[in-house]
Amino acid sequence: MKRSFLFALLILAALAQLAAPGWMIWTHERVLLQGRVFKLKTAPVDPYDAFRGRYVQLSYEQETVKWMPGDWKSGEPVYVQLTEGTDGFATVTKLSREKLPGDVAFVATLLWVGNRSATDEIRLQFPFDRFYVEESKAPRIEQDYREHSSRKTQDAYVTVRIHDGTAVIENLYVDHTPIVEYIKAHKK
Amino acid sequence: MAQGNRREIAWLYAQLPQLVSQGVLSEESARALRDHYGELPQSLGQRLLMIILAVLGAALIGGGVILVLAHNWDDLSRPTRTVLSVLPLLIAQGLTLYAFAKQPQSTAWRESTALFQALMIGAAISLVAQTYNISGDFQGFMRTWMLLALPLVYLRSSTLVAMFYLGAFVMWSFSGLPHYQEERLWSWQYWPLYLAVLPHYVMEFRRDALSWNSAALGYVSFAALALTSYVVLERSLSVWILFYSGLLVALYALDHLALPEGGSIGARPLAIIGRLGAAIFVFVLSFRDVWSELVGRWGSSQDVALRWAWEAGVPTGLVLILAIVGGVLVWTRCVRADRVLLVFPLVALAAYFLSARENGYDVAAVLINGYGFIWSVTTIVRGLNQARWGATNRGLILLSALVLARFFDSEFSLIARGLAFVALGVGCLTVNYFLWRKTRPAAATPMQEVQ
Repeated sequence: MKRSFLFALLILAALAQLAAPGWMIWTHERVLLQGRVFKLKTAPVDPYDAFRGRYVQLSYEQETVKWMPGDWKSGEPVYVQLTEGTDGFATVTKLSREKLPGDVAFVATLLWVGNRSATDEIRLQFPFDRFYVEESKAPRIEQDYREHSSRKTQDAYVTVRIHDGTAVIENLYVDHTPIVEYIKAHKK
Repeated sequence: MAQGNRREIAWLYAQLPQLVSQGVLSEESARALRDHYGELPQSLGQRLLMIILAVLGAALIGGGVILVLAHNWDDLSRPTRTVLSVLPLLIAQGLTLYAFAKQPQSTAWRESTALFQALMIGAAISLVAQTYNISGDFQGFMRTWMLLALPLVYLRSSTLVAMFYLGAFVMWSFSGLPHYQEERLWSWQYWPLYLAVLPHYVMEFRRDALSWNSAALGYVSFAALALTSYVVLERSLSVWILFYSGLLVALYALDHLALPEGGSIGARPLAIIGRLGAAIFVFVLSFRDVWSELVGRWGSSQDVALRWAWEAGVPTGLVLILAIVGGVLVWTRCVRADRVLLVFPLVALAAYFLSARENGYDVAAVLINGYGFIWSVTTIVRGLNQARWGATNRGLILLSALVLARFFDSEFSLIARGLAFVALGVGCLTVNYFLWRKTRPAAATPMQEVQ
């Protein structure tokens, strides 16, 4: 009796352990399958800070936006609404505490609110700031990303999918090519 | 069979041939002795080696598989990657179930499969996070990992997983440090997360208080607590001063109350952490700056104290009560030097409240220095009287540390400092020389107890 009870508890623990990665897979896979896609320009990066271990540290132009009226507090989570511009890239058009309808908004962190004047800016932090790459390709990717997101040539962007308030990175592009393929095509 | 026993039997077996050849024992008696004590049990060292090898093997295989997969990681489709991310965890779970069903007697199987499973939980979560480019909240990740591994501590009664949990707990605590006071919303989780693993230690302790398991777990549990509790205590009116004085003495008293006599000093983590920790802590508190910084907080942070009552105030009150009650219970069993240690929480309380008065921090620092002086001198005297090297030198080290620190604190000339160094050095050598003279006749027998 006691042994079978222990066995059942062990199985339960094992299921809970599988549920954690399982839940991560489910929520993110759902966004990638059903979400609406947006293109976001990456911001010029500090070349010495872009690459950390096995991932590229990403930041976005749209993380800094013009002041939008509201009682914002630094550190709070907000829904950020994206709208596709004529150039095909997304811009932030609305911030909200309440959930916004349609697959156009995701939760980001309000990093910094200035002195609340019309000329001021709001700094946001998007929740997708890492792009993981395989270790052997890391140095090349780092170099290419730097070259394409310096202040002179800036054609690096990511595609994200948004569904139900969650945003997931789909891919990182350099010169309109997914970064991994770009590297394969430009093997030195 | 206890380890001490094993060593004695091994010694006896080594003596037997000689005893027989000298005619002290007959062949028959020697055989009877062997039959009586039976086969020499596998030593702890051998068992430990087996466990370590098993764990290492499991970890290497797991890590190797992940590395091989990662070689072509970018070329694999997302579903493939996802399955491969969870696969090591599934294998580890299968191994645990196998060990549970087929190897119920083997410690090596039980411990190594449990630890492997615990490690693979973290591997699965991080691999999935990479696949979906999920940014890390390191503290949250550590907490999830710990909590998912926790059932293994109890269901497999695994000491190694308990130690892993405590290690992860230390990482979890420190990763929360950069947050400022207002933002440390996680601090209420500190005590529940710590207390969640403690019952395993209590169970091991009750099974065999002097076993290797209990001792090792004791060291890790209380070292983890002493290392990290500062993280939740420091902000609220420096009650850490009271908390540590209470905790260390409570541990020391608990050792006397709960542990049977005998066993090596190394098997008494409560006594060692209590006494060593208290000595270090007296040294820390002997600095005036500790108290003058505290004074700045009096009056300005009442609301902070209230807000932090649950995380800091309640545990501090509890350990102080434990220390005082424990101290009363073991008082008659202790020698004078250890009684001095038992009153430490009262001294710390007095210093704490005295420091709130005008210029109180000087009074507090003097009080602690006086206390440290009395403690170290009584320890040295006890060591000399009972010819104990350990106690004598412990006292000498504390005394020297206090004296030297005061010399660097205050504005003495270089010559004065130099002379103080020389005097202390001569003192240490002289005391040890006397002790050597005293113990020389007994030097032929091995020292029974270094204490």
